[in-house]
Amino acid sequence: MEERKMQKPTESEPLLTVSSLVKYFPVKEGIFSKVVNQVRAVDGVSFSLNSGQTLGLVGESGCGKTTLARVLLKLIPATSGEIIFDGMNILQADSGQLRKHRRNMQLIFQDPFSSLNPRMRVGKIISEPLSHHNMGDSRERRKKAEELLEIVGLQKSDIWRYPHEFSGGQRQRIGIARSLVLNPKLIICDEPVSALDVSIQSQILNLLDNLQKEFNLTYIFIAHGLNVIRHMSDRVIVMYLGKIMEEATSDKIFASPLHPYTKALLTAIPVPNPRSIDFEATVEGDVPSPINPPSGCRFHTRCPEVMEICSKKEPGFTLIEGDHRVACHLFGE
Amino acid sequence: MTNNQKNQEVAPNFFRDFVVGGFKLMGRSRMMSIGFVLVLSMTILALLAPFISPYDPLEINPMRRLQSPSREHIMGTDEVGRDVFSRVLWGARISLLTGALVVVFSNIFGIIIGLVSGYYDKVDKVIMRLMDGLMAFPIMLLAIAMMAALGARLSNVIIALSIVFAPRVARVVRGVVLTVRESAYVEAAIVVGAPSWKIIFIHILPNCLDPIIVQSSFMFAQAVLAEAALSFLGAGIPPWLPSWGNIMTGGRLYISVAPWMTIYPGIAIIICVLGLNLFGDGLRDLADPRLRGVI
Repeated sequence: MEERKMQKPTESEPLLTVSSLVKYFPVKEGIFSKVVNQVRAVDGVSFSLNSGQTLGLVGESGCGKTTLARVLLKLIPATSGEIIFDGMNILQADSGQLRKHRRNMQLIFQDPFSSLNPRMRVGKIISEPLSHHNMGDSRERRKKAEELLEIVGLQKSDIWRYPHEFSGGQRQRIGIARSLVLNPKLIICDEPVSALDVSIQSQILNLLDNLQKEFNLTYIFIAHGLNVIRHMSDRVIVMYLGKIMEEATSDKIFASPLHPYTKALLTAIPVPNPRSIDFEATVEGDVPSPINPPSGCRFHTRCPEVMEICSKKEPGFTLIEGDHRVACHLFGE
Repeated sequence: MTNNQKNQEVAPNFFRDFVVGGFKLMGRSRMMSIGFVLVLSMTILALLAPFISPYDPLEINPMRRLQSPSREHIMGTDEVGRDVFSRVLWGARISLLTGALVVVFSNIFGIIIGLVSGYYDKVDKVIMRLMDGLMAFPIMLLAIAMMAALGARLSNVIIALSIVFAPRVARVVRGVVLTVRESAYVEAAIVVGAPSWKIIFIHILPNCLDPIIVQSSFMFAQAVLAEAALSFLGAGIPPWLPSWGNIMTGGRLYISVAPWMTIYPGIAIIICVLGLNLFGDGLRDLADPRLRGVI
């Protein structure tokens, strides 16, 4: 892991730049579908990502991680903001440009059971993306599918089988093969292991790790727990209710977390010795509704270190040691 | 194939998947095999009608009118002395043809309409209100109205019934499309840059097949019955042509003295409908690779 980080190219131009991205879902009511409210799923998220890096995205369920991924892939339109990927503004691209652009940005799904078409043979599932972009004839596509199956640890002959003949881990490997077939630059992994057995999880994570080295991939890695993130990421973004709470390199997040929410997430990692957990830092209760997020700092309702200012003023980002930013009044001024 | 059998060579093969798979499925499901035998024998009898029917179905013989079933006329004769057995055999051709064509046409239109309105939200509201309007009329009323407008001919029966059934197909297809298009594999297809028509026809349509097949089997049965009803009411094909409905129409006046005129075509309809429903369920399983039973 350490070696890998050292070798990474540090390019000046980031592969992906997201600035003040917002996604609100309207809440409609009545026969005229009047918009009565907004679900603030992603509320002003900005970050950038360099080529070859892995960005970990972590937060409780309902914090907007998956929505963010879907907006980045333009599966759902953004409300406002800007996404610059590889020099192109995705949100303003027309449908033709967008379809070409999709080659470069791929997704690995959370649920390996619903993400593969049950009526399609595995070879077709993997090679089909090539046909959308007129790449190769049918024989070349089949060869490519066979190649990729072997790369992800399955057998060539599996191209003729149907998804239901595979286990969850194997299906996830098929999903990974499909995401690789177009030689993308960026792969968004939306909780790729959370539906799998623990023993299979590490295999898939190692596979993703190896693929990154082999194909110089950039990952955005979404997870709801920090233990998986730790294994994979170079940088980590902690999200809560649609906002970024803290961003730092993976080492810093784990060695010296600043935001009380990050600390709470860290205590949620299962450890061999439960007595070592600092229970002061844990949070209780559920995430508040994103329809009416709490005033001021969104975390103040559950924060163990809440102050008076927290419910009144929303904290801005404080930069600490150059690339460690945190949105918390504890570190303001 | 021979050398590679150890190597799990399972290349796709239409014949093995659907024909052998179908027989395997029937081996396991007695109901499907009964349905298959019934449908197959009906079809064969209908096709062979010119060769096996003992009399001309249109030949009038007043000397032999209203005879009860006997060795010469195993289903008896009708009020003008035509052989009921021959008429039922020839009637199978018209009734089954009507059923099959109505299923084909209403599926073609219904599936296209359903796919489009299920996939594109904007046209959905307009198209579906139109379909609702068509469906607000009772099946028979709409069919009779259309027959009155078009004129009593077999082709018009098929057109009218297709128009009546298409909105019902469309509604079922749209319902399935609405669920299937939210599934992760459709999202995956969007992510890899599939154009809309490919998403609709490659990813969504195959996963809508279950309800379409099931619906087709009972729509076939309904079309046979609707044709019978139309002809029975006099809005279908001309009365001298034999269809199961027409034969029964002719028989209704004589039901107390010559019940065979009504009973035998009725039995034919029952057997046909039963066979189709049993077979349709099996077909649905065959279309699904998870249930096909061949690896």
